[in-house]
Amino acid sequence: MDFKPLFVFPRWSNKLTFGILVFLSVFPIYAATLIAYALNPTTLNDGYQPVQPVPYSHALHAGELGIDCRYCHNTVEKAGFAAIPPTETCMNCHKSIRTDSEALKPIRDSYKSGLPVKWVKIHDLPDYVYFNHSAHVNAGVSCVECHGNINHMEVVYQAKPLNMAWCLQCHRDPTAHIRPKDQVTNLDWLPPGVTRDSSPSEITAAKRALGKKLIEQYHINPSVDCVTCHR
Amino acid sequence: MNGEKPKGKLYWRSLDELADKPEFRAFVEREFPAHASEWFGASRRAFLKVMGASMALAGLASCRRWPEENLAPYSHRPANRMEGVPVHYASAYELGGMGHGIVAVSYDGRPIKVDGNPSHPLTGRSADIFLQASVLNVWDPDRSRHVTAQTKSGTETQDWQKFTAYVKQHVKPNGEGIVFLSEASRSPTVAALRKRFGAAKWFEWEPMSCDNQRAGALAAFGRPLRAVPRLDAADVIVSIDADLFFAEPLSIKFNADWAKGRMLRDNDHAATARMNRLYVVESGFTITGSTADHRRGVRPSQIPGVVAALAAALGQGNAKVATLDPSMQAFINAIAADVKASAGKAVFVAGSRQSPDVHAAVAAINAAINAPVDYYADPEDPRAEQGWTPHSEHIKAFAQAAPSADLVVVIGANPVLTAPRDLKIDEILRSKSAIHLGQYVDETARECLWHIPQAHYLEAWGDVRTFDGTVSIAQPLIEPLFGGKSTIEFLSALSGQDEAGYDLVRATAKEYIPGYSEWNWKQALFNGVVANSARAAEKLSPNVANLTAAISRVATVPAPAGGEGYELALYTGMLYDGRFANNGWLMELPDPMNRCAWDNPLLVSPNTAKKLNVDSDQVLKISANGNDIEATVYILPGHPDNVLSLAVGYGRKGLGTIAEEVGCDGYALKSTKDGSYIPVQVGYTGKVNPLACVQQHHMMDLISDLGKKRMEAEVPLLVVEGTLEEYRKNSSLGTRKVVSLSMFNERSYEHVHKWGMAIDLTVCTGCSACVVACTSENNVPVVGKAMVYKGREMHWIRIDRYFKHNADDPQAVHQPVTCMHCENAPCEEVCPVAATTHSAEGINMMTYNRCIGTRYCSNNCPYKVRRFNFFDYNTGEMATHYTPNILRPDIDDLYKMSKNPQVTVRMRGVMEKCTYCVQRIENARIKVRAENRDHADTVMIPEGMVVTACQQACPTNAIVFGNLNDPNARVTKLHALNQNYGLLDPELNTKPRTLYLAKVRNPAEGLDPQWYDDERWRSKGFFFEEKPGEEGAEKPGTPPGPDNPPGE
Repeated sequence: MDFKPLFVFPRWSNKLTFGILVFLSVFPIYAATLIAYALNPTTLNDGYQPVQPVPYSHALHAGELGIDCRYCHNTVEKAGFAAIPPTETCMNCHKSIRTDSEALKPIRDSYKSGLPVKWVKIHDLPDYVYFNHSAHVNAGVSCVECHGNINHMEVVYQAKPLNMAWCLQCHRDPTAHIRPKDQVTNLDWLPPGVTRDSSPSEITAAKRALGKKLIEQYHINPSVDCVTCHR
Repeated sequence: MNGEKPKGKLYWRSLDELADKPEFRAFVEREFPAHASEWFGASRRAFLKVMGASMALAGLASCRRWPEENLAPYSHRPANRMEGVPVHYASAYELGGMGHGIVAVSYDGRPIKVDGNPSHPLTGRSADIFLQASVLNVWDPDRSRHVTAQTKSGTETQDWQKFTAYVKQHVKPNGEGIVFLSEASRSPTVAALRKRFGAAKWFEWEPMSCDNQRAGALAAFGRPLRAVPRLDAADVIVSIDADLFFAEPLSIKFNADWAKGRMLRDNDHAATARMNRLYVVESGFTITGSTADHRRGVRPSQIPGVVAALAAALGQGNAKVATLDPSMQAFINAIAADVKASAGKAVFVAGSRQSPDVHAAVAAINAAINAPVDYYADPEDPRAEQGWTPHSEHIKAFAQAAPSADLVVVIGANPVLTAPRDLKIDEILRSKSAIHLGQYVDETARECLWHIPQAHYLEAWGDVRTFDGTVSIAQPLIEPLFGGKSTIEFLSALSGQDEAGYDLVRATAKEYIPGYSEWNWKQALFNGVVANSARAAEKLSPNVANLTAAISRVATVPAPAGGEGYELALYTGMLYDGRFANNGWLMELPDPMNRCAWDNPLLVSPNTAKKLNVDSDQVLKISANGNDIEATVYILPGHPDNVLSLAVGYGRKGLGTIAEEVGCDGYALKSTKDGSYIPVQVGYTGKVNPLACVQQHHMMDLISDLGKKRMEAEVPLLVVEGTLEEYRKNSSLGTRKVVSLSMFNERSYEHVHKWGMAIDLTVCTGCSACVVACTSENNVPVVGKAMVYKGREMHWIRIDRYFKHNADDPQAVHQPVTCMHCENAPCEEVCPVAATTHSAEGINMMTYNRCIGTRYCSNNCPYKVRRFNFFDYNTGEMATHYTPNILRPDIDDLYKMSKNPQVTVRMRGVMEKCTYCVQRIENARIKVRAENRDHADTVMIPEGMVVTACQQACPTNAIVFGNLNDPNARVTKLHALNQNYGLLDPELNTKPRTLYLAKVRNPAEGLDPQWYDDERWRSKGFFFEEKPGEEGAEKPGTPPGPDNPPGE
């Protein structure tokens, strides 16, 4: 029979076959990993550290000088939003301290002009999430639980993932995250019986032991209903 | 029964349904209206293709952290201000010369919601649709933004300084040569400023004026006093063409006072329950008519005759009265008997559009029967009591005076649109140097030399008076966004002084605040009401001869010249007099009676439609006084024959994107010689304009085979009605109390909170305030006429309207329907992604960020209360609905700022629905828990701390929300009442948390048996007694026939 196929792969294509097969088997895994990594909230947010208009150092003010968080973020116990301090608050001290610092110029300008200093938002939840600071601070959840050790940060960055799974972990079992209410803004606080040199597992165990008692004392019963955060 | 055998359905929503047309059946059986799932005519396949492409783009777009956001704190933070915490300011609002005390909510400096002020003695805590929607006008991008002047080269943008320079040049110090035309304002500061223009002439104009009442008082008592009827003190209320619950200046008060006399919330004393009785005779079919116990529709020209007959039946006056038809005579006799039986507790109220003669007669009758009506003087009226004339006369005087003026100043009013066209106000203004102060570049602004943008009332200092004289101070919540000037600032500038509004108000406050001091001023500001500023009601010493004369005059009102022609009655619709024409919330609010949005249909009765040989949606040409308009017919059952009703304020051009050419302009037909109606000629155009009518959207019946069988004939499963007599005998009124047993372990909600709602149909008037309140609170988007037509309106609460009885003489019922928060919620069962779930407190939650838009939930919802975002409605632009969002321009900041930040703004592709205002619950919970840490997990949110937006607005207290686990909560008590029923509840076992209280009316003995003695209604034995297993027993809706005689 004189059968002639319409199309035959040329001989050289045999060399490509192996390569194509390898590519087809490896690429989906690669692509999936890449996308999963790129879309992971951790990738997107963790460690986010934008440049601020004023090189304000929390390590200096809150850490070294020991200014309480609430001196500046004064609405944190009463409002959902922990207020970014008005320029006035800065000027309470900087009227007399470092009055000609170049770094503080935007602050002085704002104080004079009445226009705001535009800080860059770091801890930025999606708009459909309604986080309330007062609800947490009044229940003995410290700033450090979500913001990390701000008092040691020269430039603030996002220390925790702040994604929903992470929120829910604590809402389901808050024992390790509750401290006495008067210690909420003491970011270096440790439960009694452990020191800075204790092992992390010892510290967690001590926190849990105390947290259990405090949960009873403060009548903490976190809700995991959707409407708690999504309205 | 008049020998007539009832046939067919008892309750129905439209004529199509009553006739059971196949189109209607097909319509019902679809989940959404036919067009709802279509995308600009393309097939589903084409849609998927486009969606696939945009998915790919969206996937790329998400590979990044979201855009950088800034935090902009105050430089100098005001004392006690907390960012993110809404601040409530007491303020004041004026509409048509009537002041309202309000509480405005400011969120980080942005006014986003307005409610009534609970401390206000006259208007109270509730609000009507206009008040609620007025806040949206602050954010209207179409508001006028610049001072403009007409020059030879056209309209030029000017600035305020140039205007003041012009004023210095052209205005004489005492205002000599100026003719003012102002909207009605009873602001004491405006009155004080008016004195600066001693030599000027001041005219006032309101198109939907309530001045004829005062003209009537002038005729009856010799003084133009303002009447404030006290409906709460009346057992018998007779409305003479007054739309008490919607269109009157005192509507909020009327709603509240009327409802006080109709509360059936105590079953223990059901046998002695009392109720007021409302009779309505009207020339349209309004919500007041649908709420009435007895109603008659007549032609506007017949109203004086009815009043004369009423007077005669009451033994007042001495005029000879023409004979009326038997049904009307029975109606009048019943009223007369009732009024005589309740001495001093009966009141007549005539509608604003009625003639002074009718008002005079009504005032005389009220005086004769010693009705609970208070009369108040109005000293701030620019028209002195001597020689006082109503607005309709005043505008004529203006038209005479203006041509000889040096300068014409128009304040707030829009006479070019609203004044009778034969006065040719536009030509007068064009020929003179005219200055216009207004919020929009409207018809009048375009004819004036100068236009000055007027500040919104939430942007300026001011003060108002209510009808009883109570003063409220208006404080600004925001700087004028477009540099507008308030009326008082404008007048001050005109007098050459240019003072600030604040100083002007404080200067007059010295006079009206008793014992003025800084403290008193602050207190008045804080409370929103100046204490003890109400005037004493005037003591009347009527002259009997005058009264008799007033009553006799109404009997001699001549019959219309046109004979049996068509009478056009203009009425106040959803846009008030047209000043809310560019307000999307009101434009999209369906009229509670005809249920059309985005249009002002020409309402006609079925008989008239037959006579004219037209159907709904057909366009007619209506001509009168040399003008004509093209209006779209809507057949409204129950509308009086030979009357055409048309809402005003529509048909605008060049005003703004919302108002642009929506509907037709009824004002165009009006001339100075027309009174309460316009005799018109009707012609045909052959055009069709499909009305966006929502009455057949979201229908609840035929949801399953079971439902089909049971509901085929009966909506009574949805609406339970009874009479007071029946209620006294059996307070359950036939509502079914069935305990359904479950195979599952059902959840208990005994822990602290169990939220629930009760809706009392007895006092629901259908005023729609709840719908606008919900829109405002919950960021419900405006979708536009094309979308509403396709059944995509987004309102979380709708007010269903059911007709009862036949098409010529129906009764109507309004029923607000919103998410029932079923304990066994069908929507939750079918959501594939658990985006709608149940909270521990029994709220059916909707989590937008989880929703993927399958719409299964809506499909499975028996109440059809779920709304789907087919497009990104929240971009604020109806024109860009079809644009993929990556190509769409940025959303206007103004639009963003109008939103309530406490509620998520939903995007395309997600489902949404009523949340029981969960943001209010959560905020209250956080507050209460922080304050009660020692028992935070068991602390109960106190009653009254959580009020839903609809409840807050409802003037009649028909909506009550609260915690069912609190035995003292009002809602718990209402849920315990016998007349309670859940919608479709025993059938579907959804266990709704929102329950209805059956509607109870109070008919007069023997009157209107067609409504109250209908066998189909009476024989709902099915409802009155449980007859389990008796399938063959008397079925609801079985028409009486030879083998089913009535009454057995």
